[in-house]
Amino acid sequence: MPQRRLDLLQGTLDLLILKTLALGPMHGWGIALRIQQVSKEALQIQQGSLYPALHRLEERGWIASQWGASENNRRAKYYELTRAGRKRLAVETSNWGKLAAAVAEILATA
Amino acid sequence: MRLRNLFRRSAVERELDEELRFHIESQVEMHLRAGMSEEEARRCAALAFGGVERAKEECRDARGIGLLRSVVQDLRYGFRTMAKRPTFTAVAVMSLALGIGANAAIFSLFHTAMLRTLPVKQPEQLAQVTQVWRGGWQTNVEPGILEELRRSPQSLSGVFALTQRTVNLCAGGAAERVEAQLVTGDYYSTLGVPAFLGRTLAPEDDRPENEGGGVGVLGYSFWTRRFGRDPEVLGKTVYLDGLPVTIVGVTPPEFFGLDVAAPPDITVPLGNPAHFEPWIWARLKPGVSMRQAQPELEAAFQRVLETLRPGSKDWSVPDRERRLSQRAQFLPADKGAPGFQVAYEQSLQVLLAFAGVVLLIACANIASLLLARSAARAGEIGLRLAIGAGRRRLVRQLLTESVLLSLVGGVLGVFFALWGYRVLLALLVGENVPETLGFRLDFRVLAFTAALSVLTGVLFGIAPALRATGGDVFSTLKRDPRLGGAPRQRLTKSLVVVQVAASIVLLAGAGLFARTLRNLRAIDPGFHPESVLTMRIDAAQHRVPGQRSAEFYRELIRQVQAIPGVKAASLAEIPLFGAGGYWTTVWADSFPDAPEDDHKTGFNNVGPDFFRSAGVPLLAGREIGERDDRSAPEVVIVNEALAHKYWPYGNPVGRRLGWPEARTKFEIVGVVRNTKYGNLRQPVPPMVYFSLLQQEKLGEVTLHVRTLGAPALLAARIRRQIQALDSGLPVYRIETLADGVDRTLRRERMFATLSGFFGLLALALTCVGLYGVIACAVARRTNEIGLRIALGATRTAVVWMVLRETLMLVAGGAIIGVPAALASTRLLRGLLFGLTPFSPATLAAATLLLAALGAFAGYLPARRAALLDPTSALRHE
Repeated sequence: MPQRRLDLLQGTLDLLILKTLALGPMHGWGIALRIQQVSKEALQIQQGSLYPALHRLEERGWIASQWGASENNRRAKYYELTRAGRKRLAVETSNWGKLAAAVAEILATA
Repeated sequence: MRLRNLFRRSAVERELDEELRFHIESQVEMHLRAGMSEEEARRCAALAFGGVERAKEECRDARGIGLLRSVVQDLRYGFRTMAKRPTFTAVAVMSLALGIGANAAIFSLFHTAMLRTLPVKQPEQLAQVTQVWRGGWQTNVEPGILEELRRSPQSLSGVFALTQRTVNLCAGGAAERVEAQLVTGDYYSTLGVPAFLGRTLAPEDDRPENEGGGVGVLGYSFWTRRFGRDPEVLGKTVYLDGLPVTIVGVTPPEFFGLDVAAPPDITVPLGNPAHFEPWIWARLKPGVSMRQAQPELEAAFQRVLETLRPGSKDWSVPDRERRLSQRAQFLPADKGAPGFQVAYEQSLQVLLAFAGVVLLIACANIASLLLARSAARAGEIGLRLAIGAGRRRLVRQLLTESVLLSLVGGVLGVFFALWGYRVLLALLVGENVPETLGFRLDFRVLAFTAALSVLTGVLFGIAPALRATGGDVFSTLKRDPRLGGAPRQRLTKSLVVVQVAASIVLLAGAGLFARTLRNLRAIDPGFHPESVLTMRIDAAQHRVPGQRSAEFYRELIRQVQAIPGVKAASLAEIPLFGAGGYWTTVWADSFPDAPEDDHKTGFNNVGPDFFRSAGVPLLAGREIGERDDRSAPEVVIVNEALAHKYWPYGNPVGRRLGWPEARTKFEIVGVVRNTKYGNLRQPVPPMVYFSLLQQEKLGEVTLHVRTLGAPALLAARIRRQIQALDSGLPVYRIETLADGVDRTLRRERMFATLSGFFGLLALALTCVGLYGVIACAVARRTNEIGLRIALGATRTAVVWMVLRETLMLVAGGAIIGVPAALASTRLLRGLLFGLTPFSPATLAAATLLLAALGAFAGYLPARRAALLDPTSALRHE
């Protein structure tokens, strides 16, 4: 499997997760739905790959989890942003902006 | 956190399950609400989610507990697989254990005896003086070198001399033989060895009147063995060969003297070095190399030689010239005296080579077993790849399994090594193994063993693992195992061919050693070794005032002859077969031209009627009798070889021989039959037998007794009788002449036993390997064979078809093995007797044995193939 594409995707997915959680605590299913809805179905993420990303972010201390009741009253695992996570989101967002701007610049001139 | 995850694994797993289930259920509900059927909703949800197991695995990895946890999981799985296939596991583990154990045992001894440096201060500065000449060298050197080196110490910071002898130690009424070391007073200070208890010897102890006595220092192990580590031993007096010795100290436990194979029990002053041909050792000054010190030694040696004028010593002219042509040389001595190394280096190297080849075969066996197993597990592995197991993860698991296998083998191997080491030492050195050669499981040996076993596991785990996970998922799953992978079979077959070849080499070597031993045993020594009992008596201990040696010997013989069951008894200084042998040069009156001083005439001092007692026929003249003592003319008996050398055409009885100054000193009174002396391999040397009763000093003598019944039955009775004569008289080394002869065959017996053991081990391993490959091939071809039988192939044809495959493998191995055996057994030339390394019979026997057992190993699966029921075989999946 080509490693490079995975890396880009992985970083992007992390950013999307952090951004989604900035709105408030959410479970994995909710995060998947939200990303899909907000991007107007443009981003199709393999739902299975969402969870490793969540666990990785939790391991790094950017998000935290706790069990709670879902909308239809079932047990679900809710994730929320930590203080470190908020800082990370700011850094990542600005990075993404710089990257997007740089790419756009190149595309416009070249 | 991680540890918690590791130990509360099930809780974490449950949470992960629940989290993912919630996700999928929610998705299903969403689809249901959109109007899908239940089945369709589930299918869509699964598709959208992707591989659940893979996601879980990645979650575990993401948590960072993946590696450790999966190693634990792999280990558990590995143990389970091992337990599930006990035969496979047993064969693999045992072959590795034997291979690794044999190597570890031999390497341990190699390390203990050859590689260990002396436990003294800066051993690398030590050097031993040797005298070298064309074609030889010796460590017993001119005592004068000591003084000369002391006088000009430009490059040396210390010089000392020592010698070693077996003496009789008497303490509190009980006597025993001990190893005594006689040293100059600066021995301990030059080596830098402190006292463990009391003090060591100092220069002022080393006075001429203290020669071999006065004060003494005990070795730690002797102190333990004999005195139970009693500190009160200081100040006590023991007797060494009758000389009083006051114990002043004990040396530290790790100090074993200078020769690891002969640690001294007690160390006493040397007194006058000129009375010995001692060992001389020196310590170089810091920063001085052996090469830089060499000229100083040469100069010292030349000054010593100048003092050796004709007549200054009782040397003959040629002897002196031989000495004058010698040179002195420093030998590195950081690993101690070269005694044991010289004696056993070659033996140990040969054994290491043997054991190495056995390990090679064991490894090949493991490899082919693992290959065969991975073929059997191809389906399982394909399945696991299909449901999302990572390739790296699978390789790691297969590697874990094989490393586990070899580690278990390695641990068992260490136990086997412990046992093997003792057997090895017993075969190599004999019964009296000094403690210093005891097994020490030191770090290096352990590292060697661990490295060997892990390397084996990795080496032979990796090929099957890569191969097993190599193909893509679909072809592995779809592949019909009956059609099999041709390349894997080829690799396994070449491994078996290597095994067969290596086994042929080992079996050929074993055959050569076995035939050497048989050839040596078949040699007629010239006497009947079984019926003569010998025992050593240290008559030097016997100090009855005024009694002459002859009277004592005559009385001793008379007492023993009076014992019922004794046919004849007499004395000789050393056993008839010789204990290493005494050598001299004689001049006969028949030869006007003096022969070289060759030291090629063996000699012994014998008592009255010795040859009748030892069972050697007298060919001419008479025996030395009771009255041939110091009051009678000096007489000798010679053997056929000497008679033939000096009187080829006449009867030597009545002729005279002697020394260069007195060629007519002794009259020859008899000629006896040739008997082997000291060594079965060499032709019988010319021998001269002097009269024991004509020797002045009482010394160590050997009683020879011919008995009516089994000699062993009388041993205790004879011993009692001798000690009734004098209770302080040590009697030891009670054995038959045959035992003495046998002792000289120790190395040959060791080689025959161990090479035979290794050869059989190799044979067994190879047969297991052959069986495995053929059985595997038969299993793979079940359908084909069933078809052949259904189409009318006879059972014989099927058996033959399978057997032919086996024999092809054996033949392939022979094609490599026979030339390899020819090439490698050439190195054994010096160790063989009565045959050359090029021995077609031995080689053919080795090959045939292998072919026969190999065919048997192949016959078992062949018969199974022939008995196949065609209908069920064709349906076989």
